[in-house]
Amino acid sequence: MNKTNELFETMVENQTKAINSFVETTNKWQDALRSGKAMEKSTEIYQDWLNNQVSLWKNTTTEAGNTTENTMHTATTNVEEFYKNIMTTQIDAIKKASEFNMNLMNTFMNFGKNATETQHNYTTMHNNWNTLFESWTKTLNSTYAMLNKTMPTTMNKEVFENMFNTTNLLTKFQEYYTPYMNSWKNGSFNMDSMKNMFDPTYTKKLTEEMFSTFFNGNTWNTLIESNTKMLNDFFANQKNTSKDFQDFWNVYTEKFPTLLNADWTKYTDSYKNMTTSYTELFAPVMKLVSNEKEKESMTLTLDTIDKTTEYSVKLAQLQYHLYTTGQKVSEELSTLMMEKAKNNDWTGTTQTWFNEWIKISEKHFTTLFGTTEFSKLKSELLTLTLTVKKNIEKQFESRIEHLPLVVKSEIEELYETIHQLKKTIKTMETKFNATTATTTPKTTAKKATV
Amino acid sequence: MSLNNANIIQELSDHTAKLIKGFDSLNEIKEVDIATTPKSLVYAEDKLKLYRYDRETKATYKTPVLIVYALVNTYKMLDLQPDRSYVKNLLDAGLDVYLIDWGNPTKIDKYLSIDDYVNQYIDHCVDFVRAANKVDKVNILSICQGGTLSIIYSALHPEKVKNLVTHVTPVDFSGNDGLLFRWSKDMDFKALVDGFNGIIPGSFLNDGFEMLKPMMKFQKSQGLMNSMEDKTKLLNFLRMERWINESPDQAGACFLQFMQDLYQENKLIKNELEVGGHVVNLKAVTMPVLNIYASEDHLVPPSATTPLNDHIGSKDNEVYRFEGGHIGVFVGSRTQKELAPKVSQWLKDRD
Repeated sequence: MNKTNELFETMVENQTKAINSFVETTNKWQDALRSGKAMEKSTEIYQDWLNNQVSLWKNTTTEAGNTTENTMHTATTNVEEFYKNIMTTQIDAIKKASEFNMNLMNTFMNFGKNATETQHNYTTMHNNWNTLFESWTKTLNSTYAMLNKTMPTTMNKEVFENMFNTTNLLTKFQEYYTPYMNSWKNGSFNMDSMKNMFDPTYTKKLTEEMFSTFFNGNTWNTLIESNTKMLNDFFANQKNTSKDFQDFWNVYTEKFPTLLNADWTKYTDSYKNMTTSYTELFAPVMKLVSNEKEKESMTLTLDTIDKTTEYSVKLAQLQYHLYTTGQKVSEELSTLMMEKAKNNDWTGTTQTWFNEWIKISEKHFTTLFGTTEFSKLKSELLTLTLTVKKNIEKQFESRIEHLPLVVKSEIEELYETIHQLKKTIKTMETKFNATTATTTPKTTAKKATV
Repeated sequence: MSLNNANIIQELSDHTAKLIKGFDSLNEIKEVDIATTPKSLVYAEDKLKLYRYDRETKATYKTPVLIVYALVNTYKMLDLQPDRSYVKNLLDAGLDVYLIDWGNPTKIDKYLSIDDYVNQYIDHCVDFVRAANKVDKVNILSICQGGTLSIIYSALHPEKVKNLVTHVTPVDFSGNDGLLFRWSKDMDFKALVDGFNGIIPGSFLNDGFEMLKPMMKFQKSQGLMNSMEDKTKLLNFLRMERWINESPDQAGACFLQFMQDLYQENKLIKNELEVGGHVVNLKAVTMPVLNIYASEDHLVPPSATTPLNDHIGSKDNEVYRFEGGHIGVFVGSRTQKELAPKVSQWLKDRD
């Protein structure tokens, strides 16, 4: 029943190991390339990496299976510290990915004609890693998926999914509060014991269960993937600029800020300084590029990289708010429980408490959602997501413009023209009817095509 | 039952049993029917369909009613099931009822603006109903955003509207009551419409609505799990779910104008809204108006609805408070006995 906590810890640990493994593997690639032994070493390097990945994920499930019930001893009373650590882990992972990119730039710089091969192999490795990660998360949900695939309609599936998720939530809730209830029974429940037992990991899981939209496990993964792919594509075409960019990345990663007491202002300011340096660095490069299309493509790429990084920062900020609000809910419920315990009131079931928890959650989360900070963050995240989406669409269009295909932006003009034409025709029709008909307008009933 | 480990496990076991039962029951239901009151298609334009509800007996009102629903979600909630059908109740009261089904916009509709919806679609439907019934004016019965559009229409074409009934209709967007109003102040709607290439997905709106009451889905599921063995209750639940999930996409131009000009700049109540080159002046709404609001409305709070009557030119106007929520106004059990009689009587007195 306490496997969730251990699973999360192992997952975070394994993600970090996986990133380190990437970096290590890249270094091996570089060595192989430098020594001219890429061909003979490639299979060995790849196999080593793959075996490493497999063993990482096997460890995840094994460690989960070996979990004991007594996980509460790892609780920390400093909840903010706990959440900050999560944010730092995420930021660390992003930083490691940046280092990885830098290594890749080294490869491009020093081995221009092998860059394409390296890029291809990197992409293959990355795809394999993604596949492993995805199949792991799929395994976790296979029971539910197996049940759900027999549902007759999509709507029934969704209804069942909601019931399943509610049961999941109830299970986690029971998991969380069982120690409290045990301590009531044996008379050891008090404020100190409550604090000692308080494990923010569970609150975290509950919060993520409630707001799965904001806790997509692949978020940072997708960030790294899209970030790196764009860098790859960009520098594959801009060999001469890679050195300048590498210099810049050195500066960037050295100055990459650590999370300072969740001081988002400092963090954001630091990021803004980075983007200013970024833009200034590329200004001379942009001047050298005479081809307008290429310039547009470079601008879009840089903008996309910029926006995806900004997105990850803001998402971490939003998640932080959700986590700490989940924390408030747990505290209020625990206080309520303690009041009952003081009065020796043992009635009620976990269902009762679950309902109470839902009520308290509704109160606190709607309060959070009504704050200006949350409202602005949510809006900014949405805008960033959609901007990146548009940038990627534009980049995609520019890649296929030489093909005999009509792209979205060309259709746009058509839609607008059609709309104007229809409007004009209808206006003319109305005027015509008004001038030629009698006092009552015409009553044509057009059969719609259904 | 008191708290101990054995009971906790029993509870979980009971819960799981309900889940399995739920799985069985849901698997048996292949189809969920809603909006079954018979009607006939009488007019169509682009994706719009105008229906006339079939009557077994002659209408007892001289003036027909045109229902203008919101662009968000579909009209089917007004006719959810035979014993919870606002439409059926209106028919039983003797009204001749027409209804606009807006359809589901696609990319070709992305440039449809408020002007198109009001001065073309609604106006053409009104003209059709007038001609079909040989009357100069019609009664408009409008819901939520459909009410906002109907108010704009009534201000621009007062000569065609006999009586106007609005339900849970937002007109004053200045406040921050309700999360929807709060969030809209900070949203970059231009980026939103651009990002979605001019067609706002219905699913995006649904996700937003779900966040207004974040724990609602768990509460619903809990309630449902306790009634899985009652097929009637289960079907009632699924009908509502079907309506919620059938959320049409939104034409970007109209969506953008509605959100910017109304939610963010509150132009309607200030008589600054421009539609089709004309400024909408609420004082031009001179026909009798019945403005119905829901006391516990978390989507359109009362503070957004009630100010209408202070700004229109109608001498005969009434604000009616209904105890309940935004949807409960139409599908609650009290509604069947209260709302339709109130509205039909009000219209009868002004027929």
